[in-house]
Amino acid sequence: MIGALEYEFFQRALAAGLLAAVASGIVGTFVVARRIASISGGLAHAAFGGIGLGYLVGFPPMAGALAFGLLSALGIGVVELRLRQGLDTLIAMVWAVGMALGIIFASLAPGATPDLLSYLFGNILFVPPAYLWFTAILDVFLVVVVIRLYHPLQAVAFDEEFSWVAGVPVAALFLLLLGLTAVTVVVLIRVVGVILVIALLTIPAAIARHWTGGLDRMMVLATAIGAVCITAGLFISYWLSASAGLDIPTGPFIILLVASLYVVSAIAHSLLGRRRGV
Amino acid sequence: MSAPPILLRDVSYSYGRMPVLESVDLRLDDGDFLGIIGPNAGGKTTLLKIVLGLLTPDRGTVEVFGHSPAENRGVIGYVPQYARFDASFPIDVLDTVRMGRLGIGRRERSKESRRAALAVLERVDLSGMAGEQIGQLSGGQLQRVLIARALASEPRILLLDEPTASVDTRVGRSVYELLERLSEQMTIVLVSHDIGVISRYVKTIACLNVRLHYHHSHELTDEMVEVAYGCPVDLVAHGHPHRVLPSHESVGDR
Repeated sequence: MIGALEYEFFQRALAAGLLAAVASGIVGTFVVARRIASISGGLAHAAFGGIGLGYLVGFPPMAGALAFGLLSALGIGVVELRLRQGLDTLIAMVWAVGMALGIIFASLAPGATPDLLSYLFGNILFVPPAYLWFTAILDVFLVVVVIRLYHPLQAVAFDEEFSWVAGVPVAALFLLLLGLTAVTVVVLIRVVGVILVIALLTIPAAIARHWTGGLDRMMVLATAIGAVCITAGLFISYWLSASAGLDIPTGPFIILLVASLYVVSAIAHSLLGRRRGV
Repeated sequence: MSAPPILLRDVSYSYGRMPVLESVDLRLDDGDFLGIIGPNAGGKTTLLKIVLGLLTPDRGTVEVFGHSPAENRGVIGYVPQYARFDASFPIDVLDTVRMGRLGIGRRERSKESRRAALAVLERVDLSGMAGEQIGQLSGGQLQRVLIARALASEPRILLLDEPTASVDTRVGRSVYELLERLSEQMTIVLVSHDIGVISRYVKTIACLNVRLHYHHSHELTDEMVEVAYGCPVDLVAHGHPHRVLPSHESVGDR
């Protein structure tokens, strides 16, 4: 199994997974704490519309995903800031419409769309070098943002009304958070696909929430959990493929691993009678 | 002549078709300590949110020291209702209090805001609790953390929404005694349904049930209460002859 590490494609997949885990751990922590998991799911599916458009018009699908994700984040953010509640329907619409557009665009696209499934369920085994660079830059940017704006971001995630009254630039910070969520979601699409992104983003942070009492520690632990599960998922799917000839995508394995870990963590947490989790 | 801390003229607000506030006029001067009582859905929280600028009135004007609330953010310290508050959020007491020091224009080093937050915690007798998770605190401790957070912004006005709704009588008294001391330094408005206790500490009292009944006095007449609640309420006895509001215990418990 360790032999997998000799292959360059596997090394690259592992590097991609670890880099993605950092972005996922940082952003996922805010997503869980601010309870915007459904928004992140909506953004992932909205991004699929951009992937379809990429196929149709002929630009890189990931660029389309990024554009659709960011525009949806801006739209949802502005409405959320104005209405402050009752956003469920809008998120559900963005979610489904993104999907519908993606499918229509992709069916209209000339020629075959061979990778479409890989956007739905992820394909981390064959990542281009550009992906590694993009994710590395995103990680650096996220770390800098969190160091510089830790307290304001924490305040806005925790209590928007008080933050506004105290004079914190709530709207700008919330839109920043949604924008970073959109970019991270697009990065994670490569790892586990549109459909499973929400799980990879939120479950490690939710597990970390069981055992830590601060956003900073949650981010570190969520990153570690994500990294371990992505790595394990990669090895398991490589092993199944090499030894049994079973060709199963890596993404679903990763999700089953984090989900199992969540169940174990939740049980252990309640047995130990620690503080209430999410 | 300097502008009064709070000045509301003919303020009305409604949720959809249901009027919550009608033609509310209110002027507070420096050093006032006003208690506003009234039934649930009588508009108490809405009135506070309008003064804070979180809600914009349908009609009328709101001024905080002569400016709109949005222009004067940071001037008011806000203590929201405990029950509406996400106590499961992963944050400790110190970081919660530091939220009060995050306003724009307040560029200070991390060390300074930390020191300021610790000093405020001392003022509310919570010195040893800085590292505790807010989810671990008792109702009374959390209430004082919320007051400390508001005080950390060094406000000139303090607005409190039901500050004793979820604490027992003894803790409630300590909260009011703290407010009494603070009222020497700033203007305070608190809303509550707790008629008996409130009238012992505040300087003036008003009744709010869509309309505001306020005579700039400490006296709470039977008539005012009757207008506000729509029924007679015995003000002398500690246990009211009939509860004006449902018990809060079931709401406050987590």
